[in-house]
Amino acid sequence: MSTVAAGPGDAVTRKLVTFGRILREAGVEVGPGRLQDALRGLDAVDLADRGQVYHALRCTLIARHDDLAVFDAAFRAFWERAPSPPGQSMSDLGLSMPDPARPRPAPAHELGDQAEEEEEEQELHAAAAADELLRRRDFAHMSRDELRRVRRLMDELAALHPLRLSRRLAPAKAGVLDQRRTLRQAMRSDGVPLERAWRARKLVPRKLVVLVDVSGSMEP
Amino acid sequence: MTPSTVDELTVALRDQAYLADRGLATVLHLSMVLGKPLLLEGEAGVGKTELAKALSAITGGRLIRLQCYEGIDVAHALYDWSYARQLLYIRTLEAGQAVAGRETLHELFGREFLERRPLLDAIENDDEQPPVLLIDEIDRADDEFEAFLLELLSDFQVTIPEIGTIRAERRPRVILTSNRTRELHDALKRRCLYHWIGHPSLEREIEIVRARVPGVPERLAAQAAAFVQRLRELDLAKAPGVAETIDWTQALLALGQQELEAGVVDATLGSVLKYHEDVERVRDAGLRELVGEARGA
Repeated sequence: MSTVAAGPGDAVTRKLVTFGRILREAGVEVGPGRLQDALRGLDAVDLADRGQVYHALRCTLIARHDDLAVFDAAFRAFWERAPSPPGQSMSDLGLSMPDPARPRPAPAHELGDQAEEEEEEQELHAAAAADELLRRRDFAHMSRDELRRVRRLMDELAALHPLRLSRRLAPAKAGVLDQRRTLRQAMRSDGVPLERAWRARKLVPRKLVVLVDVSGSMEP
Repeated sequence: MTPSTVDELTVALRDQAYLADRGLATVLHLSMVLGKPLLLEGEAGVGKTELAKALSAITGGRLIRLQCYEGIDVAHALYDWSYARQLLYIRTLEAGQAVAGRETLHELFGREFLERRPLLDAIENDDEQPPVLLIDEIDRADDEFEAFLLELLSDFQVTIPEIGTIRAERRPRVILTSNRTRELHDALKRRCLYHWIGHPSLEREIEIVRARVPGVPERLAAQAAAFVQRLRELDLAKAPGVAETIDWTQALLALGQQELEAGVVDATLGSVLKYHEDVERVRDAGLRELVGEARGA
């Protein structure tokens, strides 16, 4: 940080551009407009205050909640290293990787990914098996926790509900002329149809009939 | 008096009983210095809308609020022609046997017959202090409306075909909020500073409750905040925000509570949790234990 505060404005600009490149490589879209904003932002805050610098960069460079974690890691790695000795070239700074001793450096994270993935998979299997069990259970014998899981599963089913075009028309932004509504609105303006109203076929859920055979009498 | 540093702004917000953390204060300060709109995202009830109110109180600028909803359009947000008055005017002319000419037509689509809606109000203002324009829950509006906002947010000007382009002489301070029910367009985001407001830490939440609920016993504030923090760790359909903590503490205070009691907590759970399933979930997780934990905290 001290290098930023002490260096001429040009150095800050170059450092910022490098930082933007790192973010881009990490998959965050950082255009020149954003960098310009970030530079203006840095001008308006206290450069000695870590929090202000962090948020000035964050609010100008990032526009998605999902990118915040990437930004945090990049910020830690790039701006919070020990002050670099004078004379070190900018490209060195840009290409330097985070210190492996740090708690959440990027390379270590990549290594950990595989193990994490496997764990996740196992968890998924366990969940699937549990759901499978639910299929064969009587509602009457389910615990509250199981009932809640069933409800969640049913919600997922409901979300898959297919839609179809209804034969009925509903008010819409475009479609066929809605004479009745147009005339009614025209009454407000003394019979002159200033605004026309439209109707269109609306989307409704496709009808789904679910037969629940409790006694088993319908089994083939 | 408009605060000129981050620290001054933090203090000024605190005077309005709005406790902003360093990040939010910095970003708000930047938005004022750079003259850029501020886009706030975060869970419901973390104080996005409240910030606009607090800012309006600090700067003395009028708060102009545009609540977005599905299907909102220019006629609701920017301007509309007052058809009734236009017709009345024509009738008057007809009664006076005047001949309608070019002039009349020009007059008919003049400012006199313009019905100003929030956005036009914010752009064309005669206020001493720039107004605070709050565009609330932009994620509810349609894509087209978002696109329409682009001109307004980057150049602070709007175009009315019959009148021309109206440019803001005093730029309003703009705050947009989104509950992130959908991702906003990049073009809109590029014109804004972005800030994510998360749930506050326990210490901050206690502070917020004490600032917002005057006369609350310290112990009650601490326990209520601790309890709600614990709730957020459960797998709920809708995690309670700070707004819920404040409402709930007010309810507990109105019931004369000095600290949390399992019975009263159970009876008032409805002001913290807004879904029946969540209430059940919490009861199953062991309300008594949760209350015990909060009291011990």
